[in-house]
Amino acid sequence: MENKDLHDFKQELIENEAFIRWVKSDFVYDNEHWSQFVDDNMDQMDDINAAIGFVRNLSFVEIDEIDKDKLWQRIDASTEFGRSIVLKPKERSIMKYIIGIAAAACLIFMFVYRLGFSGITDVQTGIAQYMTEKLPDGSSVRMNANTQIKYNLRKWDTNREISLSGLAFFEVSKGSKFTVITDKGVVTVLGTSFSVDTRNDNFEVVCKTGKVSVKSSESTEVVLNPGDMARLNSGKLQLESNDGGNGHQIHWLEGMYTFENKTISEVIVELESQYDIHVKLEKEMDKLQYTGFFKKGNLEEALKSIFWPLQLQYRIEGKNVYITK
Amino acid sequence: MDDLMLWGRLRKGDHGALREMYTDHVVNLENYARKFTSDNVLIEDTIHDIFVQIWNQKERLGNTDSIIKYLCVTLRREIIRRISKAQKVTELKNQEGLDADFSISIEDILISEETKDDHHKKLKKALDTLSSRQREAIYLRYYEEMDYEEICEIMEINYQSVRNLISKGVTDLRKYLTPAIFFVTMFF
Repeated sequence: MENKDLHDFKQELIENEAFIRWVKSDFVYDNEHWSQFVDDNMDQMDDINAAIGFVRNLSFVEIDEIDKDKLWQRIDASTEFGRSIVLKPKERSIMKYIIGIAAAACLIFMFVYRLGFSGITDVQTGIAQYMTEKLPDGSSVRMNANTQIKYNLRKWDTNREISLSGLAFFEVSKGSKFTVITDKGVVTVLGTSFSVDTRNDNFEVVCKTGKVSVKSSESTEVVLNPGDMARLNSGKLQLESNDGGNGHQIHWLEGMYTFENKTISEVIVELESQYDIHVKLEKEMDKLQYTGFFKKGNLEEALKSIFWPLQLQYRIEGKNVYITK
Repeated sequence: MDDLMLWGRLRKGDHGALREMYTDHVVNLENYARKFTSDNVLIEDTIHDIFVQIWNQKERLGNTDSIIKYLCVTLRREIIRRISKAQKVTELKNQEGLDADFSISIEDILISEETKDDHHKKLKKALDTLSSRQREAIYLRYYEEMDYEEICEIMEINYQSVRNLISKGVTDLRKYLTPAIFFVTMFF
């Protein structure tokens, strides 16, 4: 609430967006704060009531005249082209060519985007793509495949906030609060290194150095020390501590993907995002459990390390891998 | 974050994402557009064209943290362009130049019983004395619940102007929209 001289108390409230949101949400949104505010300002009760009355009364009638289904059918019919289709596997050389174009397009896009008005930088990796993004303060983000980050370049100096979907490792330079926002929870640090994984409906945070605070959407909070991991398990944030042992490692930084009692489908999702392949299982294989690891770099070796222990055979045909008993 | 993901899906050619965007926001878009024009055909055509255009340009779209903001900006530009064009053709220029007028009628506002009798006429008068831009800024603020910065981007004016528009507009409206209703006391 700035411009104190120009505005009286009532007017300030009326124009305050958090206040509007609180009133419009029928006093649900951020009610804790505003109840406290009301308590603290009992002497100004009349003004508060008047402000609430104003905001409540300035509600607009919603008009719903257009036939929304019919309009959608029109839009639907006009947007028949360009829907995504599953590409059939092609020869490797062609794929390389396509990836080359995609990478070039990606670079151009990033360049253009950085010059955009909003200052929002958006970086995305595709299948089997790795990228390290340097942030303006010297912090860095190592992005695994199929990962997206977004941050405001212009506001970075005052607001170190970055949104993430996917898997990434953060090395944060010392400074003000650094926040990673995901749809499952928020990670806050001052200066440290840690990884965040939001893929496959997971939310896993592993702390490598320093101290990391993790807060889930349900607003439980845990603090991680080096080697600790926080994991969202059926809606609850759980701390899996270091236990004085070696602690949780961030294996993918070394190109290693480890699994503990994971279903084979989960392992394959990871495999397919690290190697540009499609794995075809036979019926009922997807229920098999796997404990072990595979490495990035050599597809044959990776396949061997996953399927040999399960006593399954694999056959590579182009970009398809067939698994048989 | 949800918006970001939905937008990402759209850019990858997921038609379901377009559908979700439409379902989530079409009512808001209709209501916003209606403040510029009462012509249902024009509103429908504009909304149709916007979604088709987004679809056709999905590979070239930048990112957005707020889909409704993106849609409002596009809708506003498009509808003003079309109205201005129509005005040119029929030579019915409005006094503010070619800008379309943003009007809020007394019927657009949900008025509580207390306000109805006493202030109806005065409120109508107050709404009429507001400028088109004041009405629009107030609408975006109190209906779409947007913050100043979002309103800046949509109306393509600077931050201080938005603050002034809302501040001034609210001061004018306040006289007629503040019945003493003791809501807060109910909570204690």
